Amino acid sequence: MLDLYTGGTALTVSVVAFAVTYFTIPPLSSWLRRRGIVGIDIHKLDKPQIPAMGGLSIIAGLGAGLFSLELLGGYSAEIVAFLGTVVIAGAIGVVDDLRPLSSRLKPILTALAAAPILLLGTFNAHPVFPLIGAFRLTILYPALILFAIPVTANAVNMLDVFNGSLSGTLTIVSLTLAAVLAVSGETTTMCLALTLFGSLLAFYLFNRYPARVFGGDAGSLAVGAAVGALAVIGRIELVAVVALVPYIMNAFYGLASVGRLYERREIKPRPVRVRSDGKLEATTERRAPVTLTRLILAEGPMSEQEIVRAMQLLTILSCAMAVLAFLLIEVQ
Amino acid sequence: VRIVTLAAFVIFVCISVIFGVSLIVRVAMLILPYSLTQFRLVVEVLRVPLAIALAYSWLRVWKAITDWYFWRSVKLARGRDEP
Repeated sequence: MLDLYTGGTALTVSVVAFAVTYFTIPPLSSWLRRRGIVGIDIHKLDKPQIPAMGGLSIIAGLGAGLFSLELLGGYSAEIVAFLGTVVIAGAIGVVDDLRPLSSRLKPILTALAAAPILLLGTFNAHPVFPLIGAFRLTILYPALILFAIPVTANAVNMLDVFNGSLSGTLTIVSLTLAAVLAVSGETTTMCLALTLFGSLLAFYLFNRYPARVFGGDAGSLAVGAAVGALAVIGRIELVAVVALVPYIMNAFYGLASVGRLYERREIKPRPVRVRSDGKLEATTERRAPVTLTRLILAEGPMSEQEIVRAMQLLTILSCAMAVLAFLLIEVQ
Repeated sequence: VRIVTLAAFVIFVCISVIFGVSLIVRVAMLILPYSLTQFRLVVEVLRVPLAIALAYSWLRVWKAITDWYFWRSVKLARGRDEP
């Protein structure tokens, strides 16, 4: 169980992250709008322009939360590695938002975000799996980290398609990971997860339907890399993978349909379209990727809010399965 | 109600991920036991592509099931909408 001080620290860092994200979004949105850094909300009939790159507020919230964690809990290599990963991935996202990167270059660059974890050695090369126990991957594991961070960052980026789809689902994932880390006794990493939860919850209030701000690639890559970093630093690799199954399904379906790495803007045959009544429906275009959204819409049109609600329900289910996976590992 | 099928997909994928690693390891050990040759390292190296092949086969099956579900659902939905 958590002691009172750790519980208080966890609560404080999540509140700090929430407050900083919440109060930086309005001025940041105004600034982004003035500078013309906007994205078109293509799933609305009137195609409004929304400030993009609001993910910078998530990074600011995470930074403030982690700084308060350092103050309350003392120096920890885990905190530095986590923040380094988030900042590097966020910086790559900023570049991508301002000057789109190619579909091949982006995953390669996001692999750089794994550098702080590798350099500070905040990983354990013995991942644990149900039924077979710990696997000794002394040489292979660092290479897997270089692969894991870009995978989570880009998988999260690929599902950032609707108002609140990313923030609304990853809030659930980060809270689940925090609970699992609390039970497994990884208190520092639990605080990292709660910092992420606080930032995402604040961002969700502005990003949910109808969105007043978009996270942009700066937000999605930073948050995706943060989840990957939590999995590695907290030694909950399998639990995180299971919690992210809706994201993995979406990424896998897209990649398997297109047959290569791709950017959403590169794909001409659209997987979904907006009907005249404002609802979304799956297209019957054979060359369009079969994404998670298209699967949700397979049986008929839905509104944007209904799609996001479906995604949240699927995430709750995957998080429940992630807890099951954790219990199986613990029982072992 | 419409996402019940997708929920089943999510559970299928989650269970595959949870037990997949141990299953693949066991199948790889069964197909390529150490008794096959006196060179233990050769067996271990051969097990890696075998495990990758098993994982890839599972991904192909997963994709085939998804495609079948998607196009069948689209066909049924279109048939329902037409007079």
